[in-house]
Amino acid sequence: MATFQTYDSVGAKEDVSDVISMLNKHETPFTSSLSKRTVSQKSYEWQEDEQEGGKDNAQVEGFEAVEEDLTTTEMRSNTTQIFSRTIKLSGSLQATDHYGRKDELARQIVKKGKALKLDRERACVGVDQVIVLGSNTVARRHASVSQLIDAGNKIENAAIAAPLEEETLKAAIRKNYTEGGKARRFMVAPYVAEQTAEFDGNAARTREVTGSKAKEIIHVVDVYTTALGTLTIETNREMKTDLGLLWNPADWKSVVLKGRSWFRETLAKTGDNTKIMLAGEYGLQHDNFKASTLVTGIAAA
Amino acid sequence: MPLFSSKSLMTQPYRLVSAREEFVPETVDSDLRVTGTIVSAQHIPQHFLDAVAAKRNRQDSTSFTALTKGDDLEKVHLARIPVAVVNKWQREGFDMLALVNSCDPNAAAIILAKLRAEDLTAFQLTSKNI
Repeated sequence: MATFQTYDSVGAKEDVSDVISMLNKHETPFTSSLSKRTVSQKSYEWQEDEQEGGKDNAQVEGFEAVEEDLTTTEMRSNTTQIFSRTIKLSGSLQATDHYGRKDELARQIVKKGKALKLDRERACVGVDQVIVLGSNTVARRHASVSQLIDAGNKIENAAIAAPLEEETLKAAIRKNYTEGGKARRFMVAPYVAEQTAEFDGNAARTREVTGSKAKEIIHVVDVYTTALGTLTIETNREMKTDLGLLWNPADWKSVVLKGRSWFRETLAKTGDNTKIMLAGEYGLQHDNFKASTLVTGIAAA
Repeated sequence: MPLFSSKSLMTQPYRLVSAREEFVPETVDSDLRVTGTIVSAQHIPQHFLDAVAAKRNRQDSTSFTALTKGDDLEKVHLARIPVAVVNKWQREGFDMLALVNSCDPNAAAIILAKLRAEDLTAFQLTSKNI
C-alpha cells in the first residue's frame, strides 16, 4: 500500500471560510468547477439562443429573396436556495480543549463548511429536483442539473435501469457533438466509473476485497482520447446513482445572490455555549439546455 | 485475502478510497483569520496498481484498430489518475480538468507527458505515443 501525500502551506492570513473553498475540490467536482454569476433577485432569468447549422445553399441567377422565420431567444429561469449549518461549542469544551478555543472553532468551522459544500453539490447533481419558489413555510429550491437539460439531450441507457453500456456513452458523446456542445467531462457515481473502466472487458479480472464484503474503489479521474478530443470520466460521491452527466463547466454558472456568498454569523448567547451559523444563498444556471447530455437509467448489475 | 470476480463487483457494497484533505491551523486570530497547512493523502493499494499495469500490458499488445473496436469515435483509455495527484497539480498551477475543458487537441498528450515527467507512469494505461 503506497500513500500519495502532499503538504501545502496557507502562509498568508486567510479567512477560515476561504480555506474551506480550497479543500476537497475532488469531493465537489461540479460546483468547484463553475464560474460565478451574481444576481440581485431570488428568482433570476437568462436568455438562451440557438445557432442554426449549415445547410445546402445555392441560388440561381436572379433569384427572388424569400424571407426566413426568425427564431426568438428562449427565456430560462431558476431561483436561489439557502444553505446553512450551525456549530455549537459548549463552554466546557472551550475551556478544556488543549488546542485553545479559537483553534477548535476554526477546526469546527472548516468541518461544517466542508459539509455545507457537499450539501450544495448534492442539490445540484445528487437529486432530481424541480424548482420550488417557496413561501413562508416552504423552503426555496433551485432546479437541479437534471431539470436544466433539454429532454432531447437525455439518453436512456436501458428501459429498465442497467449497468452503463459503452454504446450509451458513445451515443451521448455523439449527441453532444451534433448539438454543437463541447462537453468533455463525464461525471458519474463511483460504481459507474468502475463500470466504464471495465468496458474493454477482461473476464478473468479479479479484485481484492479488504473488508467484509467491501469493495475498494479508488477515487481517480479516468482520461480517454477520442476522435472528438480528450474525455475524462470523474467520480462524484454526491452524483445521483442512476445518472451520468456529460458536461463542460463553461456552459454552467454558480449563481449567488448579491451579498449572500458563504458567510458566518456568531449567534446570540442562549446558554453556556457559542453558536456560529454558516450560510449562503446559491442557484444554478445552464446557459444552453442543449450544451450538456444526461444519461439516465444506470444501475448496478 | 478473498478474491471476487468482476461479475460480482457491482452487487457488493463499495468503499471509496479518496484523498483526505485536512487543514491544520498554525495561527488563528480573533477574527478567525488563519494560517496553516493543508495535508492531503490518498492510499493507492497495490491491487489498483496491478490492475492498471495489467490493462497497460493488454493495451500495449493490442493494435489501435482492435483497441477502438473499429469504431469511428476511436475511444482509448489512457490513464487512471488518483484525485490526490490531480489536486496537487492544480495547486501547483497545472489544472488538468481546465485543460480538458478548453478542448485543446493536445490535452491527452500533455497529460501523459506530465505523468512521464513526474515518474507517475504507474497510472498510465498505455505506453504508446498518442
